[in-house]
Amino acid sequence: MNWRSRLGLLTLVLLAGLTFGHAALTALDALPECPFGADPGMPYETVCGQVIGGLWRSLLLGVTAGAGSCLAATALALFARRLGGRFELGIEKGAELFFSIPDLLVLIVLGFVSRAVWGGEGVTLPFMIASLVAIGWAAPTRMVQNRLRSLERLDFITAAHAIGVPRTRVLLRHVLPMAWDYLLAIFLLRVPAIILTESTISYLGFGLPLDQPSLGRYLGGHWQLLATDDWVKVAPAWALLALLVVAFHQVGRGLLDRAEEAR
Amino acid sequence: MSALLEVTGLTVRFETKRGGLTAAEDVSFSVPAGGTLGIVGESGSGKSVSVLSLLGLLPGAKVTGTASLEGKKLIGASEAELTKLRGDRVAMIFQDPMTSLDPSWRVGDQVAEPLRLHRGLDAAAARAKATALLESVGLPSPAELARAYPHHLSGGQRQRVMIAAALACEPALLIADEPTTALDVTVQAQVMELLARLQRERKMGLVLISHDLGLVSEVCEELLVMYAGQVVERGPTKRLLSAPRHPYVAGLLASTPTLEGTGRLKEIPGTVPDLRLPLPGCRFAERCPQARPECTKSPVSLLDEVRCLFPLSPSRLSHV
Amino acid sequence: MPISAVLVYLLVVNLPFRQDSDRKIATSENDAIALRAQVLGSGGVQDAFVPWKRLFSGESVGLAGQPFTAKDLGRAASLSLGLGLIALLLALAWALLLAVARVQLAASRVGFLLEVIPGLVFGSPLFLLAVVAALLAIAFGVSFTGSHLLAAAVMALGPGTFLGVVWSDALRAEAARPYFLAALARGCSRRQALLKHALPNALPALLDAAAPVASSLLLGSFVAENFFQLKGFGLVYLEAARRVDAGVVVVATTLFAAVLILVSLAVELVRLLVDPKARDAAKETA
Repeated sequence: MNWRSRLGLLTLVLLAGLTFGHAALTALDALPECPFGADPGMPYETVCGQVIGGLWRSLLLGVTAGAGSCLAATALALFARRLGGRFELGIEKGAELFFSIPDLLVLIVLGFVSRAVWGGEGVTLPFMIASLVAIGWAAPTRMVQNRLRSLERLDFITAAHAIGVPRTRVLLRHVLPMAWDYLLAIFLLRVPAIILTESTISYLGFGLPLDQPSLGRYLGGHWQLLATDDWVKVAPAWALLALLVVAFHQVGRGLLDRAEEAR
Repeated sequence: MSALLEVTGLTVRFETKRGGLTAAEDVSFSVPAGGTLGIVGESGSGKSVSVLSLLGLLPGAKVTGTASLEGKKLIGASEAELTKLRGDRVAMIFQDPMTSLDPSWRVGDQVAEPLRLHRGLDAAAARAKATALLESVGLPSPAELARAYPHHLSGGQRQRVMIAAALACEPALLIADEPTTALDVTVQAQVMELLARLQRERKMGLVLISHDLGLVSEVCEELLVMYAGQVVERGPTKRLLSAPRHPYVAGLLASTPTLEGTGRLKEIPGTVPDLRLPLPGCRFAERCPQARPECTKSPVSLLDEVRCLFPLSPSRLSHV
Repeated sequence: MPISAVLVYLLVVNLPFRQDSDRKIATSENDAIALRAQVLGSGGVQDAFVPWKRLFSGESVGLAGQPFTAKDLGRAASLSLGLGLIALLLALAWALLLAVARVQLAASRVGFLLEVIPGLVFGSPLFLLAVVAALLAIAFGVSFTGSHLLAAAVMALGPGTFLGVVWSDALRAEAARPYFLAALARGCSRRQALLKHALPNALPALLDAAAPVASSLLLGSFVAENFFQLKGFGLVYLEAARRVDAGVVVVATTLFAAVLILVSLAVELVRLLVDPKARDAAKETA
């Protein structure tokens, strides 16, 4: 692993530590005073509380939705490889078709649905995660499918088929274990993409509500402050978002390179 | 008589992130007008690198030494000067005909391209000449073929197209880099025959690069054998085949099947050294059956056409 | 895509609309009933065109407070189209600049900088880039609200950078192929070989990028119109979705889908023109 990935990993650990530390201090009622003052939109909340809460929600969103879409993708790709033929082609074409629809359009329609059915300003966290999984499965499905296909061309897999090992067993016991590092890399690269998509959709008004913001929602609600003397109340959120995205990207990139090199 | 191609002390170096790599070192040879030279070596021996560097086709390589074609300086020449020579006075064919033709160009246009670039022919005249060229390399219904795209053609046909494009401007020198390696065995023989015939008819110089000693020796009068970036032996084909003086060449011959030969072919044990590591002495010493302690001490220079401290004498060739 | 349009319609029509009266963005009971009856029909496939029929007959769709006639929608759409075209031109220019820089300067000292730019653009949410543009505008003393050019520039940033990366990667990949070397050996200069051989072969890769570029322009138009408060189609759509205005959402989603289909059809047609292999494949299937 190169130094960039290591630095990325360290950053992620620190960011996670920050959220847990903040939670622990809050529970102990030993929270130091926030140097950035109160959230101008909600005078009872501090900027620190909002931003670290936002970091926590962004992390949670990114990781769960990323894991969800990657698991769905892996399951779909495995089914496709196992059943083969028309079914496989169908999944492939379906993923391609879905991939060509802009994510944001789907998210806006889903946000509209949420407003129509449950009302309110924003969507709930579970709904957001479900929406992100619903749009996020297509790209990884195609990638995992291609990966499994190329792994299955390896000679010892052909040999396993030749001596009569059942296909399902070959896929689960021989092919899948070789794909783990690649899957992990895809997942890690998926997370920052999801966090960014969520920020944009939040900015457009179809994300989490402002009293329980993600980093993106907080930025979307407060960017006007950047042109004022209160810009310090926005800068930390921006910095954390950038750190989060870059760190995930670097770790994922490093893993992906290693997975490619191993072959 | 003055040489068509004269190369002295050619050295090609690549600077990589993990340190430098000298891919070819102190390579010297010459080709007389109308002469044929075969360069033989394993992959990574520096044979292609030497030739590509002469034509300025290795961006990023540091090339030193002197080389001239028909008296014109090659190393140190400007890109524009080299561009003028390439495809006109010196032409080249490559190993893989499947990928060496531009997939989005019609075959005829690719053959015509050098004519348009160097002779300034208009499209119609160049096309007519291209069709004639396609016919001369033995392709059937050339007019139709000229309109086809590369993916319509077989491997052998494509290599013939490459040859036709190379011959378009009647070059004084043709360089063929492993021209038959990617082809079927039967097609290989046809392409080699075609190359030999064209070389005789047009009296052009030919440099044939191959890992196959047998193939090269059928066409070329002179041979140059390379190992790990260095020339290990050179000389007339007949002498080299009957009385090799470098143990590596002897080993190559012993591992080449012949029609008369019976019994097991001998292999050369070991592998080619890593050129990134320092190699103080003879680079073949590790695999050489005749190696002595002196061999690994200091660099061995090319003396009397062979790079060996203890060259074989003809009488000791009993094992061939 | 037409399927997705019908799907959206059916989805919208069958939604159990909330009808309580204390909602902030209210769809009153009357509104909801009116929507069903007048705008959306009874909810079957046969009524999928009801909003369209209303538009064509000069009536309006949308909630009582904000009616949209075909003319209103057309005006918004033409603003967005104009913005999109300017953004496309800006994106192409920016992509070309970036691609040439990346191919020519890759080995030089500023090379790493050219890798940082895509990272920066793809690594930040678009609205923050719009914020940067707005701050720059303020610093130069220009008012940014309502600025069409700034909006187009923000829209162009994503697709332009993406296209530039794809373009330069494709050119570099083509220049590494054996036929490129063969073209040089035939006497092409490096520039000629890049223009005459590498570029045509890199075109299919560019065409593959056309669909993502179209959708990222669409995304850009949402964000830019929202940020700069331009009454384009994107803003109309966003506001309608925020108001839960089913009629407008159905019409607009269908239009977006249609645009995306048209783009992908056009891409396939162009592909037949530039790629001989695709042409042969098409002949075989025909």
